[in-house]
Amino acid sequence: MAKTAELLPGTLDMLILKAVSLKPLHGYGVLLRIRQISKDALEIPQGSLYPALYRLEHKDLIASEWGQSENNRRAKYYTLTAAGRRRLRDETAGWNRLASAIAAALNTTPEEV
Amino acid sequence: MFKRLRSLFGVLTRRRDFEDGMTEELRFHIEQYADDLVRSGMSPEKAARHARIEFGSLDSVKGDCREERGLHLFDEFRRELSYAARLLRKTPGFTATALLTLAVCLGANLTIFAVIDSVLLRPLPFPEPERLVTIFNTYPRRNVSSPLSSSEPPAKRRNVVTINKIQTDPPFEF
Repeated sequence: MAKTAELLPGTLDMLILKAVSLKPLHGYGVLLRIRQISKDALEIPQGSLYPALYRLEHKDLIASEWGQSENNRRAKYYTLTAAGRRRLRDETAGWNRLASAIAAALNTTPEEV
Repeated sequence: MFKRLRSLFGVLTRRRDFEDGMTEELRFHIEQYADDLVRSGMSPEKAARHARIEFGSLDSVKGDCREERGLHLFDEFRRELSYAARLLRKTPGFTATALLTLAVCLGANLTIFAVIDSVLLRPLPFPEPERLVTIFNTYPRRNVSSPLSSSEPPAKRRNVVTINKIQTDPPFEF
């Protein structure tokens, strides 16, 4: 199994938005999807997933609806709202700026200074 | 802000549904995880136990979820209220004194305000109340002065500039 990385504070919300933007998912599905799209590198602590989902729904970034799961059980499905889509775009842009800035800083060699 | 208030209001009016939904959602998660563990070769009993342990305390997760929805403030408020009610029931003497004090203060306040309102604040029911006068008949020799009655017109007018209108009956009740 690949090495798992610790989640930085504030990144869980971003990852959840990304996961439900691909396809409506129930809570457990969000967990699996994040694991899958991070190629098993990110492990979400199960206890913090639902508070985050409730927080995002409260901020109207995601919406929930009861539906049927793959094995015909009643499950709550989350979808991205328009506000959520905007937020995901902003956060993605912000994250990419930050990540490339830090990467550039860390990869500086003595000759470049 | 408005959306959050609406979300909070929706949850508060259907609190039961919220709690039931949350319980069902979390149970679904744990059972789904246990099923996956069984599929990967774990015995059902062990899988169920493992899934529960890894999820952590249900109550603390539920508490966190409620907090994210802003519900904890209402729950705390309700707890405080019932605590206050219990304390008041336990000390009837104090409760009676406090209630009586409040009642008397409120009553006195209300009375004083009602008087001030009708005497000072509310304008008299005349077009130019600042020009109102009361007309007296004075009898200097007998050293008597009395307000006019309706059957008794003013005897003499002296030093009176203009009187527009004489109203004999008060247009309101004292």
